Amino acid sequence: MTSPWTYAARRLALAVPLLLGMSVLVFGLMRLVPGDPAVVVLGYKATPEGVRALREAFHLDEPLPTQYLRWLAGLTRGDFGLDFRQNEPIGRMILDRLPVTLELTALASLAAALIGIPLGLLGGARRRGLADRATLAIGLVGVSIPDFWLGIMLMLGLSLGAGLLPSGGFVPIAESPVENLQHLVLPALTLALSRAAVLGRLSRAAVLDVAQRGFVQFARAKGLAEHAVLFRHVLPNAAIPIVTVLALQVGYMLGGAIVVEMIFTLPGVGRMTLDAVLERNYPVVQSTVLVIGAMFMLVNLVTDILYGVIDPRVRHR
Amino acid sequence: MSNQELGLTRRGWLARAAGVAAGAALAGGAPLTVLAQAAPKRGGTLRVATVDKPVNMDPGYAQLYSSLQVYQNVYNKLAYVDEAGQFIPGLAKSWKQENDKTWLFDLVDNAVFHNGEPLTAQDVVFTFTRLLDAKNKLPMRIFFSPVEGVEAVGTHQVRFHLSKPFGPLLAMLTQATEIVNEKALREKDPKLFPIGTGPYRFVEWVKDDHVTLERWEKYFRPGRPYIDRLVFYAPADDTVRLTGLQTGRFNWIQTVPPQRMPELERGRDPKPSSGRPYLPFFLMLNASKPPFNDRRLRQAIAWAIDRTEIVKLVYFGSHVATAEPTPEPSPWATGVNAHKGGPDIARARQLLSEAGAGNGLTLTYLVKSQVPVLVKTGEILREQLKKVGITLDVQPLESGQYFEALVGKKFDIAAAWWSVTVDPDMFYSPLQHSTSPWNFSGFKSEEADKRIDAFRFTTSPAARRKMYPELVRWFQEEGSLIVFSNEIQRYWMKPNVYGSAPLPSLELRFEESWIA
Repeated sequence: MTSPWTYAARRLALAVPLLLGMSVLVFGLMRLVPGDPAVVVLGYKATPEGVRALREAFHLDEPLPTQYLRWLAGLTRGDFGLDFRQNEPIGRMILDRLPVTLELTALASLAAALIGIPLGLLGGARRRGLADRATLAIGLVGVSIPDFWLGIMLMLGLSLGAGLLPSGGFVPIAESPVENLQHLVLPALTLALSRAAVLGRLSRAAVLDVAQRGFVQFARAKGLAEHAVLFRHVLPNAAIPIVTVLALQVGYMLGGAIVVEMIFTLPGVGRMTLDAVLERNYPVVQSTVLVIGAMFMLVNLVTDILYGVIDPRVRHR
Repeated sequence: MSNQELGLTRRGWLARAAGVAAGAALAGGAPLTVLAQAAPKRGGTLRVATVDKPVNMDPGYAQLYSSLQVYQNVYNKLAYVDEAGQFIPGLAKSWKQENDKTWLFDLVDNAVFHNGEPLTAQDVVFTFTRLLDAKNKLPMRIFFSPVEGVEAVGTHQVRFHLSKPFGPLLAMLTQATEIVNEKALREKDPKLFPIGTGPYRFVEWVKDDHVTLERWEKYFRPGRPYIDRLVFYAPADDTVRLTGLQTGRFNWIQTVPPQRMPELERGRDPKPSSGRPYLPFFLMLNASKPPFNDRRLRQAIAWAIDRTEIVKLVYFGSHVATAEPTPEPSPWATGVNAHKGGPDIARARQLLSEAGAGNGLTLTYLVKSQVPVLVKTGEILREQLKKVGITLDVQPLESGQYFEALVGKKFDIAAAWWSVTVDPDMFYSPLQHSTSPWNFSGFKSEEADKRIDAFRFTTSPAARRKMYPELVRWFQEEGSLIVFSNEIQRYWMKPNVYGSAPLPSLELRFEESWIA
């Protein structure tokens, strides 16, 4: 039997080549995007001499492998490099913005789980009933609505119409926890709803799948109450796929934060990444994608460890 | 000047020019702007939502309009331009032209930098020495090429020495440069911590979120500014900005979606400022290669386009249709239109035929995909040009590709705007002079250079005004730049916000604004 710590250490070691692969991918993809960053930065002033000088300053005139290794060497020292636009250390830029994105993702994950999982369980437990149809309908609508539209609608409805919540902006939690929460409710809901829909549908399917298994039928046959069957037998067995999808959704939310941060003017990593993509700010995009990727891996690692807690059989693997 | 900066893009650093927004005071302190009926009141916080976020607070770089509109409140310039386009005092309380090549400026003696240093002539000398020194590679330098140097005459008097007479000197001074203090620059990075003599001092800059400025108690104009605190935000979307204003998150915003204007104008909250056209939109015809190296074909386009239709269908009345860069009420308005009575399809067809393109022509229209109004302009243009047998291929390109194509002159027609028109030289010189790096239409003509130089290097305002209409007509007839509209600048605010009006410089200065 492998201890959770050994397992975690092994997974972390495996994360290194994965991150390396990701760094190659993001480095290569950025170079495939048309548009020379020197031209984008210089814009209308992009004379051949100006472009040449800037390419030299950014080391963009070097062969791609050299550029990659230069970036990688910096990373190993914890140096993400300087951004093209403001010459600011990227590490500090990310650190300044990461708490906003993490808080948003955490709140959205919580909201997605609190909305999606109960909805799915209800639908699965009452198959073809009203709750089930509602789950399916909400799931379909939730998956179909794009975040940017939902965000603006929530803003118009709950902020402009009802005047319940601020329409955007951010207040650090240290400054005022209440205002911080008020400012994050709409963004978190925007981010959460489509993910809750996915979770709801998946939870429903997982419950339905487990409910048909022999041990559940046996539990029913021996006279257990329906709620006992659901909570004692169905739910623990349906938990693994639900937790897996929840973890995946957390990853998607880290990506989805880009749009939501733009709509609600949140100073997070997502907004910075989008601006950097538009400006061809290579080192910023590379670094933020890598950090988001690393966080995604971490979430998956935690999920894998959680499997062992949920299902003891997993620990033996 | 980067992609988003130059006046061509509304956020361009050229988007600056002078002007005390909200009407600065004359030397005596009389406010010039459209002010409210009631007496101005001290205090309050103005939460401002602009179109884009600031990037660099060093006025030497003057990189982005989004940066300028913030730090213009932190610094002062020697002179400003008011709503009517007249030059008014700033840190220079008066000036006189001693001869063709020297100008003398008297400075105020009570201005204090936010680091406690009093303003002296040495600060002005330092500002311009820094700007003009090629080693510093400051982008604004190119605009002051006729300035040889600045000399401190007394503690509060400076003399500008020019290499040749320079008509737009005052206009340039109202556009640049904010006066900086050497000690302040050494103490703190000016890109991040602006220190000027302006009405507001810099407090904090939370990147991607907001910039906070606070009233400067030692401001040299007694009683100004009225508002205690300015907070600048930059929501990325028009609707978000407007919703923020409606919910009270902001109390002043820079723009609203054009299609919402008629509905908003009927209401009381929010209220609009006065509106004036200060931002010319135009087509650049690539005259560096066929087919538009043929003047007749450029003329054909000029006769074929219907400006009124473009303004109506694309800009919902937020623009005025015009053929000149500085239409009414600019003091430089001429009313000249070499294609009056257009569109004239028959004439356009005839010109095409004379140029050997009677059987039709296929052209490319280059546009940045992030600017939907110009994409739509291209679509309307495509329909208009179809009537004269021209097929227009509208090519919306992403920033990087767009600039590569524009700078590499790989286009036939490109659409753009220009935001520096305090003096029309600031429009024609960069865009049409053969030596300018911003002559994207590739139009090179000795005659054009001669005309631009004559206008630029004449100092008598009366003589310049006399020669200007002919300059406008000449360029209209050449047709390498076809001005089709001008965006009306109009800001939106809560009903209790007063004293804010657009300026020809497009500056956002809140010195005279107040909250009831």
